[in-house]
Amino acid sequence: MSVEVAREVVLEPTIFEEGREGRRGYALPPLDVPEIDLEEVLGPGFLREAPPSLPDLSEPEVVRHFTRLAEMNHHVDRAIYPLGSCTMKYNPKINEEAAALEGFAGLHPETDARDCQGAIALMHGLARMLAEISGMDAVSLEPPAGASGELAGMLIARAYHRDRGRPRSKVIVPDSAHGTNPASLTLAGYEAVEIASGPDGRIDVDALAATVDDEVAAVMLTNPNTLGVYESRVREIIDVVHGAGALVYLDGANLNASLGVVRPGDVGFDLMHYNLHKTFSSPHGGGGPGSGPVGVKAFLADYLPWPMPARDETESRGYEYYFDYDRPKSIGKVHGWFGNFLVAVKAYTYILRLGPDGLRRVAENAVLNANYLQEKLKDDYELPYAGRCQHEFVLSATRQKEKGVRALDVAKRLLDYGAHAPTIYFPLIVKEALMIEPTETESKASLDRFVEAMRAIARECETAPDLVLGAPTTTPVGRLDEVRAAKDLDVCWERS
Amino acid sequence: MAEAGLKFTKSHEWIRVEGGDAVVGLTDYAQGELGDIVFIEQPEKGKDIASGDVLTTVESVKSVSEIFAPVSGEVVDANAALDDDPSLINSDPYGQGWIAKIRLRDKSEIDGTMTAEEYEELTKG
Amino acid sequence: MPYVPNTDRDRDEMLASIGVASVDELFPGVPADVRFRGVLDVPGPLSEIEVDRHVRSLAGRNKTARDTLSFLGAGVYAHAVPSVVRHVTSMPQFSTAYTPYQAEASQGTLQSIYEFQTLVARLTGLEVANASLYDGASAVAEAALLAIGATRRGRIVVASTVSPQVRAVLSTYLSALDVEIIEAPAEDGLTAIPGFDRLCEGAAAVIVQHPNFFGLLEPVGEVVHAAKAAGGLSIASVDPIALAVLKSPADYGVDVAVGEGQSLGSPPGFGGPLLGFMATTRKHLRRLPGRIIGATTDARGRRGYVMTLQTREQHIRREKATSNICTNQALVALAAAVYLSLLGREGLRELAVQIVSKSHYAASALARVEGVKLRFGGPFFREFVLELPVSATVAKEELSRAGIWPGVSCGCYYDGMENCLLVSVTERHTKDDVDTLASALEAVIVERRGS
Repeated sequence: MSVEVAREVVLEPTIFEEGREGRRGYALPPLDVPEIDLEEVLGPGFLREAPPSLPDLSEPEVVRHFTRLAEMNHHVDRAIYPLGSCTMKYNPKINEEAAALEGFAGLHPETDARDCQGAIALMHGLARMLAEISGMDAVSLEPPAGASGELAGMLIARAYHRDRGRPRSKVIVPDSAHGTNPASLTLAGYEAVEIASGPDGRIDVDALAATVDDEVAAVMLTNPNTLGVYESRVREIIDVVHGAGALVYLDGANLNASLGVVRPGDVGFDLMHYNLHKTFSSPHGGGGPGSGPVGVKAFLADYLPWPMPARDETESRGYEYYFDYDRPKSIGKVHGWFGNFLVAVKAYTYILRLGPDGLRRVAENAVLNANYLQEKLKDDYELPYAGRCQHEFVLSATRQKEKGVRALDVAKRLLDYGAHAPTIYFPLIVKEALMIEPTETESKASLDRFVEAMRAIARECETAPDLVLGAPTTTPVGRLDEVRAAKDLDVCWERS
Repeated sequence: MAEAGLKFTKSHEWIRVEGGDAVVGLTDYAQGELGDIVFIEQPEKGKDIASGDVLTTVESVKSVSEIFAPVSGEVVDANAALDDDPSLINSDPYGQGWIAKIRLRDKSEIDGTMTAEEYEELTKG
Repeated sequence: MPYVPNTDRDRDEMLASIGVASVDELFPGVPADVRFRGVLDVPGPLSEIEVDRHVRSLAGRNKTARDTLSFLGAGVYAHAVPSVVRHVTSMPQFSTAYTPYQAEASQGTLQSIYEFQTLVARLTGLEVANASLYDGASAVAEAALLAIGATRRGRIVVASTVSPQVRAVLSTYLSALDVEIIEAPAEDGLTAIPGFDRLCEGAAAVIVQHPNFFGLLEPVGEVVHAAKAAGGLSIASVDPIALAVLKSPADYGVDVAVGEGQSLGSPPGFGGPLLGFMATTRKHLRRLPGRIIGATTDARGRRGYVMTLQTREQHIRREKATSNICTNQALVALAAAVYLSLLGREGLRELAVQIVSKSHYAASALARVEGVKLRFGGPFFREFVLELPVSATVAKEELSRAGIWPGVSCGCYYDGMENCLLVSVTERHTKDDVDTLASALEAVIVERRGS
């Protein structure tokens, strides 16, 4: 149902345009104590003159509004969502049930350890599982997102170097790095030094060796990298970095390709972060909540955020699990409490469902699916890096650009085919990039449908480019005017 | 098309000398590459700047670009019209889309810049 | 093999397509000597039935406000969550969607966040708000970074009555930067105003929490005045429910309002996920961290929403970004938007009035217990501090045996407050609950005194 408002067509009015004064969607029980006269008790100086202008809607209206909004979203439960480096895998529903249990959802963070043994045990268990999976020694679940995990990692590196005399001043990142890497290291007081990737998309080890010096605190790597390619010279890279006394950090966003196949700790990484909402199946929520735990080797464990879930098998306190606050070398806190605990619950149940074999099959199937797609699409689209990809690969729409169609247009046209578009224009080192990560939860049939769609679009680019340039036409709205959005800056509904 | 009578830099700025001042802006080529410009941070008036320093930044929807001072001196004026309508840089890059006026400290710096023909060569390639 | 649809046959076909004999050949880059050939020491695989049994047993070892009469607060609250909120946030169209990079296929998420931004702006009275931050604590830290960027100063003044968790996160976020953090002392539980002006000299920002950790209403106007006089920004960490009745940050002239939105339709969740929010004036819009959703139209004039001002963010600005934040708390922001839509203007006001009425009833009832008094004299909203004639820890132990958690012990956080208890009351507490607490507390004190 759409409503014409002046010259603008509105598919779903905002909550502020709906409803009517006097409507309410939620009732409280009657007040069972004397009602306070706010003016008398708080004093008029503290009080607002008029209540904030909030919408007045009944419960059915609220449900209808948000249900209609929901219908306008593409989502993983509906169809493929091949966003590179996002790992949009299926989100198991048992995870949701577990996180909704009253004993988890209803638990208050100030609860005495004795009365939340189950929660601390879960956190302790998950931390141990993540460490085992990645070859690290200690893990903190506190960072509430990957970027926060990166910040924690960089602060840990800083604390480590400070203990050794001076924090150093630079951190090296490849030019293919995710934007959060340079942003996080800057927040940690470091200067980002970017090194160019080699012609094969991998780190140029000679360039790295020439750049690493005793001012470099760490090198942040993604492996497989953001092109989906495994850094085969990773051991050399790590040796070079360690040789200069610096640390090697792994951005664990692409861990899906490594589960049960190779452990970053075994390879030589000193610290890393995990994305529970990517690799470990917690839902993305439209942009969070996520969870970005940070894992370290033993020599860095003292620097992890406080508190850390701990276990005392002697139960000297009267119970087994507790939070260890006695961490004088800790970098501090990156979250008010213990991180996104309910997200951790989902990762925990996921790992239990899979077991060791299941985890390895995740990586195997993720990599198989990506290679299959790469094989099927490399004739219709440019493949800038033709080697064996891991869980994702990058195409370039340069051939299409010659016909006047860009990666952006291909992405929009995919929406008409019922798929979500891959990541576009990232990594920055590839022109007209389309970064595709199918994940292991796509069936061969789903992949074949995706291939058909991409091939059809490639043909359209040759024979009927206007179809692609004018896409999407089957979504609730067509291409949106981003220039207008940036100029008008209407970020808040005003009564007109 | 690069306008004759102006000088140009490798980083796509143009210069028009007016007495002791250099009026500076972005070239037509640059505005085409950037796309619709939605915002420009006003260069600080009175600021002393060296050739090659960042004069200001300009934003399109999906990118941010730095504009470099092609000459050294004091920023004596900035184009306030760009606050309301930054798209003037796109529509009239050499005229109403001018960005700043710098009081020249060393006129010989202009000699190091390119002519319109030289700049055309650069952008053709 | 759970969640992986491909059968051996599918795999064989795909391998044949690719031209390799086995999956093993797909990992040529992994150095042979580090290839993991063992068995990961993790539990599982468990069937759903077994997982259910196991997690229920873990959950069963945790006590919550449903099994215990709890008055715990301190920044996270067990308010009632309307059924519609959970219903909407459970919709897979919202929960299994990702960041709205392709706006045309994400209008649900985008519009709901635009609505959330608007709600935050209306509650705070400020002009613009972002799409959310991780929690109230990191929101304060991000606000400090905004102020440092805007003023280019390296000094932050923070009231000591700001929650300890918030101050800890603030301190960590600024630890690697050349920034000095000054804690402003308190007098009778409130930020001390004499001498405050001098403290603020050269400050990039002054941070106050309102209501503060002790539940008390701060002299926000004076704090803002001092910040302005010093040429710095004022940052207020505020409670969204309290804003139904309290003067808004905009009324006080606050530059940046932040806060914890968990109480708007999210359960305590053992402290996460939470919901940070931030609002400010148009002047600082370009310095706002995180995502911002803007309204626009498509070529046919249909209204739509997109992520805008992305040039502030890490994926474009990289090391020059206003923040490193990428994934935020979108689903929790959705919960807040649904919650506020259900309550509406009148509902939120009634909720606030109920909370104040109940907390004040509780404060009076508890202060009547022999030996117990209110530690501070100022007006408060949802929480208050009791001073007991015994250690708070001991009182908590005893009351716990009676199935009651009277509050948070302040002695863990503030020196000289070992006998103090921070008691939090919400709309879920009944008169009987409070009376039960009062008599139980009385019994404990009498017994302790007797011994």
